[in-house]
Amino acid sequence: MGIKVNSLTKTFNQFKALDNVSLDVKDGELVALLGPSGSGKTTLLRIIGGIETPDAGEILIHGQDSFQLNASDRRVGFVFQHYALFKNMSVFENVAFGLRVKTKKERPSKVHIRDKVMELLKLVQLDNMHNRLPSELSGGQRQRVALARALAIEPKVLLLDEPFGALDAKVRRDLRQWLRRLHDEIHITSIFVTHDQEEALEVADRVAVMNEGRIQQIGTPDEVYHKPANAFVYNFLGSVNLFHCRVEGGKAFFGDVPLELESKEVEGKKDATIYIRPHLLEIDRKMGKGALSAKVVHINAAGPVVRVELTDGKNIFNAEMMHERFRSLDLKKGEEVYISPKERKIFAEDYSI
Amino acid sequence: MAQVVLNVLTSRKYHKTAIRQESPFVRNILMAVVFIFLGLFLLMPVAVILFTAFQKGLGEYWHAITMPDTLAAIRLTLITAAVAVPLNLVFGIAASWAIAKFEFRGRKILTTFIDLPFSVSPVISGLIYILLFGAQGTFGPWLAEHDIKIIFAVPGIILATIFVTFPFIAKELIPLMESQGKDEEISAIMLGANGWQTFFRVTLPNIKWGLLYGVILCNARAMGEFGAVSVVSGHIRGLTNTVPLHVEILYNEYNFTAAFAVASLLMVLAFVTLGIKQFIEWRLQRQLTGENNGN
Repeated sequence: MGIKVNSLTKTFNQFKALDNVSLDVKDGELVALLGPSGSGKTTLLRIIGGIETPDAGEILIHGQDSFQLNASDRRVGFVFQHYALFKNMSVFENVAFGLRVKTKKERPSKVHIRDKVMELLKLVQLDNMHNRLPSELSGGQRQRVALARALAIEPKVLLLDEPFGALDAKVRRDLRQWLRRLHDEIHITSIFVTHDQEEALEVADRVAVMNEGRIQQIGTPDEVYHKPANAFVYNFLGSVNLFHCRVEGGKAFFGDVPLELESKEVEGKKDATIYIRPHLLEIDRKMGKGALSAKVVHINAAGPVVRVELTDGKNIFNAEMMHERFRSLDLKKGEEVYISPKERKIFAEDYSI
Repeated sequence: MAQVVLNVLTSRKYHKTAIRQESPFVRNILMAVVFIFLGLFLLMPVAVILFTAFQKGLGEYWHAITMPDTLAAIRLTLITAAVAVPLNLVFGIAASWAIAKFEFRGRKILTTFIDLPFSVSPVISGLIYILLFGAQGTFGPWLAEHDIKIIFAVPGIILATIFVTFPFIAKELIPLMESQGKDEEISAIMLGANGWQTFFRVTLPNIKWGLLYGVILCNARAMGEFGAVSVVSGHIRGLTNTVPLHVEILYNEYNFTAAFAVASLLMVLAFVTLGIKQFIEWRLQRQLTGENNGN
């Protein structure tokens, strides 16, 4: 049940948009496809929706081969980044569209359509705006209309292509929490595409991180964040400091500081890359075990955390700390301090986005 | 014309606050040049047409435009437009739909071919049909055998008109449809609509003003076309004369009053076209700003 994608491949003039991609979405699950532009996430979504055809592979939606069905039997709800509402129709008519175009035999009665549309508009909290034209709505309201319109045909799956991509940061945050609550309420198997890692981690049951036409890792937000499968995933899911290091005798050297290796793949290599999240880079006044000395270059205390930029003469380090910690350290620009990673990942490959 | 005056008026208003880029002297000279030019090349001919048409009084004017030959010419012009415009409407929508909404081989070539009638002299357009369907033409003998008359008959006139007015609607619709993208159509299909439902409920309402604009221009050209039609018509009075051809014949017979009276009919057509065009432009503008509000 749910959506089953088996080894999809799609090439656009030499460019491999999807390279043997398989994905399993359980019934009622909300999965995010996360990746940079050009990673193939939108292509994957469009193929699942039947908007594009793959070169090879198959898609089963609730056990049925999706390519054997025509668009109206496929019953896929699709929401576009730019809403794609019917400009010439009112909000009500937009939502009613999928019901009105049904064949006479299947079409519900006028009263039924009316009740159904109003019920959906209530669900997306726009029931008092049913007479407006899309041009009279804000971006967030339009996207909710688009969602109601997609839900009107009682789709088996719901696909959302960067649904909040065209909205302001604040509206975006409100709307994604709202989407999470809505999904908890209606439990429809859903996939949404995003390039915003915060959005994916906050909203989705599971996140599929994509790059270069492949799924790099799929797992719960916790898993992908704390147990990244590779350097790309770690790098993409948050800001990161990265440094090249030597590998010798089963240890990696961060400057002169030896670090334990945690992954097998690095063993036997001569070079590796250390990844440290800014909030896991500790700054201290006193020299501790495994610490490096560095100079404070820049301080930015505007915002929920304080950002400090440091250098050891060769590398630039970005550190983040709470205001309390910053006040107790009493850091000034130009001061010499000691830095040590509380936690780091070492990967063999070097990945920059 | 009215547009130009309006622009001059509004620009004068803005110049009070805007930084002046040209001295008033230069500006006045430029404006004078524009008005003199307009007067000489647009207003004067119009005045001459009206003056000559009514020179011998209203009765003579009325007589000129109700002569059987004139009425026949008007009828033929209306028939030609009534056939050519709908055909080009269907073709224009089909071509722009295909070009704007689908990717296929030969898309670029099709776009270029649509422009062809614009880049060929109308006389040559007419000549093509003579070479194809004329007595000495490729299909001439065959047509003669089956007693089908195309050249020097109504079908030839209609064919030449269709050719000349071919690009008007497609040229208007292609950029409009391309700018609107195809997300709305995809949405409609995914919501279960079939092709016709998608076209009539989603695409057509979105292009209606652009379409009307193209139809108006197409119609104006279809009724006013001279060159191509002249070549294939044969100038048979009362049978294969359209209004523009009829004006020429009357003029060549030194029947100036009648020639200008009939010409004034084409002038009225031009003004009506301009009026409708202005209105549609205003609606199109409104539609576009409506779409951009908040996108």
